[in-house]
Amino acid sequence: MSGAVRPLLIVLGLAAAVSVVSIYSSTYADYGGAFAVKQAAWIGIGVVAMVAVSRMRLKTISALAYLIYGASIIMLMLVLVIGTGPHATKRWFDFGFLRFQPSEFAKLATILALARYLSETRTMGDSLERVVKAVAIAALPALLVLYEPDLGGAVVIGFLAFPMLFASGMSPLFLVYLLSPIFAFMLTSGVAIENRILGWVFFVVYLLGVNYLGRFKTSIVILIVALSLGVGASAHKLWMGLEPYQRQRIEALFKQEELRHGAAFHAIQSRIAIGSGRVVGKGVFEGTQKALGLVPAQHTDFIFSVIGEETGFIGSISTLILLLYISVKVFGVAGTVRNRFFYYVCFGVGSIILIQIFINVGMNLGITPVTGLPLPFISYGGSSTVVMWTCIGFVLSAYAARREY
Amino acid sequence: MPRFTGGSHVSWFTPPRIASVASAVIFAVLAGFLFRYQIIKGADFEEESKKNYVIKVPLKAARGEIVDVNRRVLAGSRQSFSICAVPKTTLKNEDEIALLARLLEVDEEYIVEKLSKTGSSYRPAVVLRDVDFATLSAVEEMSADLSDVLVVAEPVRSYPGGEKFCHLLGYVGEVTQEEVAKNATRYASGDLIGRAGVEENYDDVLSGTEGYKMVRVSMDGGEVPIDYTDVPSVSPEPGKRVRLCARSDLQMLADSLLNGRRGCVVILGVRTGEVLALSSNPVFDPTLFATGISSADWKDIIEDRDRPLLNRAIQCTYPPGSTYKLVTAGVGLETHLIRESTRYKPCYGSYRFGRRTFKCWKEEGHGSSDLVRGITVSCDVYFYQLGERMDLEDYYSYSKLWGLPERTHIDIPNEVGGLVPNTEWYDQNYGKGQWTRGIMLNLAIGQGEVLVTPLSLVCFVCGVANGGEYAVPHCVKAIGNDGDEAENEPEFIDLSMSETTLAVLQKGMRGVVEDEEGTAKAARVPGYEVAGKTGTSQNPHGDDHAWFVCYAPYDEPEIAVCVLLENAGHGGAVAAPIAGQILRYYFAERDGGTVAMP
Repeated sequence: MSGAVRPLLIVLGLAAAVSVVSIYSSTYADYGGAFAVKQAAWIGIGVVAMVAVSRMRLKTISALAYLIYGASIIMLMLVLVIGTGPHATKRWFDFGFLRFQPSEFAKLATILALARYLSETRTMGDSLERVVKAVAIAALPALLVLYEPDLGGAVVIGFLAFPMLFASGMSPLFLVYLLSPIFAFMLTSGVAIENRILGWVFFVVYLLGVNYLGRFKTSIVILIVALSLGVGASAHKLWMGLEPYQRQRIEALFKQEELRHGAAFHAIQSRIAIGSGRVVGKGVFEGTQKALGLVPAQHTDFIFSVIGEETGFIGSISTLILLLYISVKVFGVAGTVRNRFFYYVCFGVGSIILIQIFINVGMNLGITPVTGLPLPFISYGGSSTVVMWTCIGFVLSAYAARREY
Repeated sequence: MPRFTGGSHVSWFTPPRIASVASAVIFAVLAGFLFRYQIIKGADFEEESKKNYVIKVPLKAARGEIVDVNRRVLAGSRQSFSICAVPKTTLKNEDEIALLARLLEVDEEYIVEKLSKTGSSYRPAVVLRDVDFATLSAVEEMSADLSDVLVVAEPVRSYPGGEKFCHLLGYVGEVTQEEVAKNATRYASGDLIGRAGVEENYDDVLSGTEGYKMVRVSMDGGEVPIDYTDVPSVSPEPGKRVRLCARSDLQMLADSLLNGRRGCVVILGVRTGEVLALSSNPVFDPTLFATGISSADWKDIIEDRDRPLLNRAIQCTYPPGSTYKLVTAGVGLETHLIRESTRYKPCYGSYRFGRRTFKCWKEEGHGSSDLVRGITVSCDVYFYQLGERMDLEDYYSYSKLWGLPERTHIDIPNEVGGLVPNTEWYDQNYGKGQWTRGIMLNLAIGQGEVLVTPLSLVCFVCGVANGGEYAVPHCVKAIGNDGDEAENEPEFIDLSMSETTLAVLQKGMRGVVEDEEGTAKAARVPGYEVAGKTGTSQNPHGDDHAWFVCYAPYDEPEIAVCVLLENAGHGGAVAAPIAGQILRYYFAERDGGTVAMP
């Protein structure tokens, strides 16, 4: 391992320490050290996987990409049949002594498949065909994950196609334009804006504006406008088709005060926890919000609230810097490698780290929906920990082969 | 410097760089929010967090009922009240502990010990379960001085069937620290879990899912202005009902016939493998465990020399004695060593093998017998001569094939397997060449090293009665309430025994009860033919164990009974009459409605 990645490894080591300590702090009162010990073991396995993967040859990884993707799709289908999970969901394979979450593995598999596809097609510029195919690659696992149902996982996997396409040189405006149907949904379904007529007005203004700025090909304009209007017309029905608890969680984001003790309860409690940490925090292991059991899933999705409460602004900013340093460093490697496949792999890994940090920390602060996503490298969880460390293995492998084409 | 630009960009703004900038922007946004909440509004949030004297109190799910086949409740739940305290704050308050100890009439150390298990937790821990009304009122009265104490409603297990069903049902007890550590998401300190019997095996369906509610506790005694009644609470989901195959009347009859003697009675449905009754003596009181057993009671149970916690039908192995002659005869027939008509030297009360004399149980001897009469009169000399000719490995492998030294995989836990030795076993335990073929003579009459559980023996007899296959014995008939019961489908085990062998064994067993020469005439039932086999097994622990295993009716078998009495004497004299009374009750009840229990 060359000197340039040493800082990355040191930061990963620090993140691992933060992970184990904060998991211990959130669980020792009721469960003793069991969770922290298990997490340490998961990190150990993750490191072994990272080292193993970092020694794999470029050709091997590239050749295996579609195979891994296929295996991941099969697992996602299988988990819908024999899976288990909370509230009658089907998210895990339960082997008794451990649980495996195929949606975590799908994140890695989707990155590899997208990287392989994009590195093998050389069309430049805003090609609709590449967009459709890339979105299809990401949408298949995303839809399967959505069906579990796991909204957070589905959004992250489905969204992966966009940074990857951006990496391939497409203009950001074009990609934003392609997302118009989603904006149509948000604005006209009554989710974000209660008054649906006002929503429609906003949406039409947006559509006209972006069309004017972008000067896209007529065929694409017709397609997107037709699609957006179609989604807009059926958005309300689609929305009502979601599971009530999924709807509630998204709604909670927009109506926090109204739902103070309802679905927004968790988000608000988490925010109180973080805020009450003030500058230096209440001290490690001394959190009271945490100890009262008011913040749910505090060793998994809401671990950041424990860090915020116990170590204050200084601790939470430092944790954030550690994590974002990892993503910046990974993007840095992406900018260094010559091989296109590895370039995309690194870009995908950087993106998925960044997206998850944003959604998870945002959720802890009450600014993004409570969707159930882990904080990479920190949250408790075997599948996500091992997968994230494995992803770093790919980045290390890419860095080692950065001069190869 | 990067060479690949990922597309048409040639400026500094490559996608990786733009992404790094995006990382910085996201950092800035999140840092901004952190700054706002922690620095600018930090003091407000700190105030708000201090008002959060609200804790999550678990709502215990009622444990599913266990009912007999006729839906008579054998294990139910009744509401009770437990005194709980918040460990973290209570442990710091000595006055409170002293007051609580006085009100509950326990030692202060006891309270400290109970709370110390999860001492740093705000999650309320149970101090005393199932308190009576007077204590409850006293605690409520003093609630002003007991700010960290709360009363939690909790369903407690009750056993209307009493001790008679204890080995079938098992009991519930508090989880151990190890179990909490192993499955931390499911159990918390003080939770109850099924132990032994159906309670343990079906704990998953019986236990249901715990809910919770938010409760206000004031840690400094002050009033808390926020109304938290509308914070989310989740109702507990009660456990499912489990319906047994067992019949209360048969179980109680079996228990009364054992009449306090050490031993067990197993009653099976021959064709279904249903456990109609399973009684093991001595018994214990399962309700002692339901509210946390006191150390004195626990000591009594553990130090009882008769070991009441043992389910003798599945957890103890005994030498099968003459009941095993059925197996020996079966092996002889299957290996063509013998036929139904085979006669050996007549029995004059003993048999000489080398320089040793092997006695028949009947001193005056049985004279000449064929195989069926050999079984009927249980002639040891006949079986010595069969054993002398038999290969140890055949004896071993057929015993194994027929499941005698094996677990039956009945649906209650802690079942053990028996022992049938083979050449390898003797070589290991006695040394090569240190044992003689003489052991085969003892093994042939079910003595020597062979050991079985009562359950595996009665399963074998079910197989013989049922034309060569038996159903894996099971206690639970169905799970769920009326209307959506899921029935247990029995699994069948094939003995791979020839028709001839089956016919000979059946005839021999019929003779044991129905023939004038038989050893178990006490098991006769008017109007029905009964088939069985007695056993009187010598053992190193005192008097002989008395065995009797049987089924009836002979032509269309329905019910199989196995009786074992430890150190009680002759199987024919002691065990067979018990089986006889059970069978006579069973058929009288079936044919004529109301019958008084013998």
